[in-house]
Amino acid sequence: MASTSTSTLSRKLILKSSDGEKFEVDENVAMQSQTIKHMIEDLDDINSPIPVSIVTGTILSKVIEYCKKHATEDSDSDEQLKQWDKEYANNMDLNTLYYLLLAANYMEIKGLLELITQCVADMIKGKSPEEIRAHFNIKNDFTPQEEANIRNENPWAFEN
Amino acid sequence: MRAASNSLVILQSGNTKTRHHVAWPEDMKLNPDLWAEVFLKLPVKTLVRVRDVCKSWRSIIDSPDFITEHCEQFKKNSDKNQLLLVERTGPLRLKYSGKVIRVVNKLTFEEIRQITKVSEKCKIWDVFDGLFLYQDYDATIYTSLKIWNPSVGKSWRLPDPPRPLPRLLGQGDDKLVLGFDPSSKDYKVIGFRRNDGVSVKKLSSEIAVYSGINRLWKIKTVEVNEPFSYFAVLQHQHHFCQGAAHWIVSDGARNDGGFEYTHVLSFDFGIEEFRCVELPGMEMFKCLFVFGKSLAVFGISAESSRIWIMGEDVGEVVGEKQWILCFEGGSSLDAYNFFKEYKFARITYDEYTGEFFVVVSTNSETKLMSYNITSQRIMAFVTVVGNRTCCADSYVESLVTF
Repeated sequence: MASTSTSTLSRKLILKSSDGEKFEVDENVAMQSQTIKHMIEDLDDINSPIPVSIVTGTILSKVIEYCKKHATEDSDSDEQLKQWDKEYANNMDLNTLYYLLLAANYMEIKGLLELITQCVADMIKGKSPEEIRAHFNIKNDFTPQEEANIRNENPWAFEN
Repeated sequence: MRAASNSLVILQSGNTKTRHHVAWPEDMKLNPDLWAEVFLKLPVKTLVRVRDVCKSWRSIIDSPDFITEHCEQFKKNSDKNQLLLVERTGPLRLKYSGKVIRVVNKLTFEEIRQITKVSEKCKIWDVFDGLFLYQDYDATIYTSLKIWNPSVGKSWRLPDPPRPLPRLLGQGDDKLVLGFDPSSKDYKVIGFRRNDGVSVKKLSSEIAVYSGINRLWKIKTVEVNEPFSYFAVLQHQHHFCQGAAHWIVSDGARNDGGFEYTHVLSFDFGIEEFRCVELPGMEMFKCLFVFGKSLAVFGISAESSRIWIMGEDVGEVVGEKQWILCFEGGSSLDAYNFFKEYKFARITYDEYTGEFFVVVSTNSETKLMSYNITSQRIMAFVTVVGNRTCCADSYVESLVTF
């Protein structure tokens, strides 16, 4: 709970979202993003804001919330961290989840990408193709003939 | 200051309006790589259904790269306690019989699910990456070879192999092995005979290779540089890793009343050649197993035990592979006898617990035993009477088509 002396010594970085919001974060928090890590290596002036060009402020604050939780290694047990991850992902609406997935991919945050892709995968499980299309706003681009062929090809997959 | 990029404008339009909307954002497409990341986390049965959502999803799931990666992920992340059992039905001592194929819990043998029950007589030659290489036995003749993937519910009939393998396979001297060449992403079947009529101690110099990509058999002349005991090649099931099938063999040396294993004979599915490497651990009883992605050798005497891993390929010349010693421990006479007694059983290793598992089958019972390399404790888990297991392996499911 108590902050250690190392965290006060940690350098601060400023991340700037696509819509101009600025966030001051500890270096070890930001470094969980491989993209930012590489950007810092090429940076002369560490004090200038680092642009995270495709991520909005709303999403970036969520990303930072995740990175902060995962930057403090020894405060939580693995089990607690897993529980936190679960609640974090469950509280997202689909829209946020989508942008978070793009952000995690763009910022190359492995843990977050894993978490969100697993969350999306769980949504797909147990749904019929029609339900999946409705859920993810996907157009059925198979012709009726193609669809009939598909069903003949894998009749067992439509059994429940 | 950096100007807003185009992608930013697209992402923001609609974002403010639909932030609290519960649906997936309309017209917001994920790139195929991101969907592939999602799909890697789904089981085969779900993916077969997901293929039917739209054309772009189908092309992701059908791509050979995705299929390979999905299979790798399954092997890495799946429940290691799932054991695939192929059991015989029907009278004892019949080589070709009906089969029950099911998945059971490794430690309790409780059935998780039955994959199929085959009432006709058949022979299952090999099981690999969720594929079964098998042959039906119809009255008195052996029919064509088939490959079956129960997870996607499909089977493929292979054309008959060319000579010198007989059109009708199924003789005791034939060996048919299913494998994968990672460099060409090609599933292949190799067929060879243990003798060419000249010397029973030699492998045939001609082998048949079937390529799943080319859908063709070809005959290839290969060289095996030393005479190896047919006995050793016949009795042991191979281990497949790093694009090659590996058998433990003997150059004919005898020890303690039996053959002494002296070499690893490997068939590389990429270059389609046999290679032979001398085993480490003189004076020890040895067996092969797969450690992570590498081939490993466990050597045991009554006094000590060791594990070596076959190092990275350092060349195609015989004997240049290095064995890396990665474990040294104690032993006991009981442990030594345990491994000698079950030398024909397939051994798997659990990296997390440091335990070897052996599924031992006789005509009337199947049991699971384990040996812990650090505590040297031998444990018998479960014995199922009346069960005739002819193959036990880690359960793998895949999207592989042939």
